Amino acid sequence: MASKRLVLVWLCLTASCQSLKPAHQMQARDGFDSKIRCAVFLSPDCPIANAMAPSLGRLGQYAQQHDIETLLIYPRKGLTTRQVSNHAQSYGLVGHVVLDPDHRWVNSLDATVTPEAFVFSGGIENPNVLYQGRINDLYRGVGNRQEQARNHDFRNAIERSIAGNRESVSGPPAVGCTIER
Amino acid sequence: MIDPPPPTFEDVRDLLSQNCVACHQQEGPAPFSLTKSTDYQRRSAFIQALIQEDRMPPHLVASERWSDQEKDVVLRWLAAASRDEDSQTVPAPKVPSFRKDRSFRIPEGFVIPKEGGERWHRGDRDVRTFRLAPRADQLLRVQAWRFHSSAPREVESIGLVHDDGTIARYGDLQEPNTPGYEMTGDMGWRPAGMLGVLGVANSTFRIPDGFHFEVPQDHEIDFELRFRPSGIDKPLAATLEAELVPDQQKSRALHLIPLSIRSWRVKAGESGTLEQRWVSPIDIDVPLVSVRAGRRIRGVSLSVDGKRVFDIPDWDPHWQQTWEIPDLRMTKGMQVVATFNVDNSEENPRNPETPPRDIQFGRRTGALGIWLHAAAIDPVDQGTLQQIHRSIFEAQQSEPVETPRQIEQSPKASP
Repeated sequence: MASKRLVLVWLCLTASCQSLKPAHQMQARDGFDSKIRCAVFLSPDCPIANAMAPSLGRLGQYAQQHDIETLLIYPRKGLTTRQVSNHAQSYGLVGHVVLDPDHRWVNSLDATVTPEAFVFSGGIENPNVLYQGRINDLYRGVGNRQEQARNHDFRNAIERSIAGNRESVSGPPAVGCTIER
Repeated sequence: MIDPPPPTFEDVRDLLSQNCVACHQQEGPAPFSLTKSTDYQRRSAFIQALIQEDRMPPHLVASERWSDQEKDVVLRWLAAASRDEDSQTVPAPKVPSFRKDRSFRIPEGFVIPKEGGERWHRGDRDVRTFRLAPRADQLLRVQAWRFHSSAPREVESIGLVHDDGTIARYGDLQEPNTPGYEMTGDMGWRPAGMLGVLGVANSTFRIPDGFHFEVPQDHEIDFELRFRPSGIDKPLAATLEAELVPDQQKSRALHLIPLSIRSWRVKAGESGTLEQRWVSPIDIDVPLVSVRAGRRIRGVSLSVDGKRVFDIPDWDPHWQQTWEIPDLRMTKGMQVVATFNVDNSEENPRNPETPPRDIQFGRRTGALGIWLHAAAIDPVDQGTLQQIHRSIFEAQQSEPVETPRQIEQSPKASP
């Protein structure tokens, strides 16, 4: 119950109540310094992204506990604030919800599918990507789901960053729903 | 040479209707709706990739998939379609007719969990078994099943067996405070009866005319649910409906002939074949087969006197369901072979463990089987089928743990 309340408060502060804005506006607000941030590209109707939501919720909390912000970026055109807020809330995601209909974040980080995970520093114009790849190996291919994830690449990348390791690592490619250009 | 003009929506409408919309519709088992032409245009790159990889359409026997020519037409339409075109409706395929004569419900209260949990074995899928209510109040001759649930996207398949209640009750008692139970696999091994497996794309399943599944009076129907956690908890309410053969209509009961491998093991990196052989002692028709094979199986086939009558070389565990084989007749003395191509190497893209591990499966964790649903051609022999099931069952009690033959060591797994 406590964790549900935490998620609701966090979403209220970050998304629907405060600052759900297009990506370029958010960048202006934050300034995006050298601080480490996480980003995950999502789509409300991608079953692969949704299946990983419980893991993402835990990772978002873990990152938050270490003062790392997670951007939940929704690149699909036509999505509304209400839709993505509802999605993030109902799936227990923790992070800062971002609409990216113009694909500014998609192009900046070179994202290709949902869900795809990043650890980076810097802003949208000049990101320094420390990790790009899958969240875990729950899916080995589209339609090829394992019963459980056994390799947690995104979590490992966050842990490396927390430990102060700024080496850039390319993870195994993300498996998911193509981001339409 | 001038390229042909791109296909129009009219050229692909029926193909999309038959191959996509049955699942991709509101409240359907697939994740998003594809009932408008613009739905395809919005996801064009993703859909093209899945079609090119033969990931879509799924759940169809290889011979029923669209032809290469049809596939090419759809791909060219997707590549050429403009996102600015007006939306046009893709009609839903015709819903099979069904008459509801009996209805059974699963116990209330089970929630499909948002993610898979730790399990006591290394089986392939999330699974739970339920005893359906009410029991059959008379002998039922089932012509068709229809299944409804509150979680169509989480339900992957349901396997149906009938039981006098003793085995299922034992399982249920192991988890007295929750609806259903996890332990599975026992009922199908007894001389009771398997009543087919319904997959994602055949939630209405019709047994070919002239045959039926039989549920004896006072037996209960037990229901093995294989599910896919979807990231969100889903309370499950589900109903199984039966259409019965009219009283006066002649029909033959289908009995089970389990060509199963009850217990098997394979080392990490190994591949090979497992076989189960059987010689038919009487003349039978086999209009249906059900398949159980998990992720370490790359191919499944059934041959009769050397001729392949069922063959899925690129096996996908999503396809664990009951298949129709038209006009399959086996006469006395014919040799039947069920073959499973095992691949426990890293080269198997569906191997759930990387790196692979030595594994051993038993009847509750991952037995293999092609179950023949058979009817005797001579009515006098109909009772013999139950004896066949019993004798196969008894013989399997003493079978050793099988290991794949023709083992090839995977290069990557070599020490």
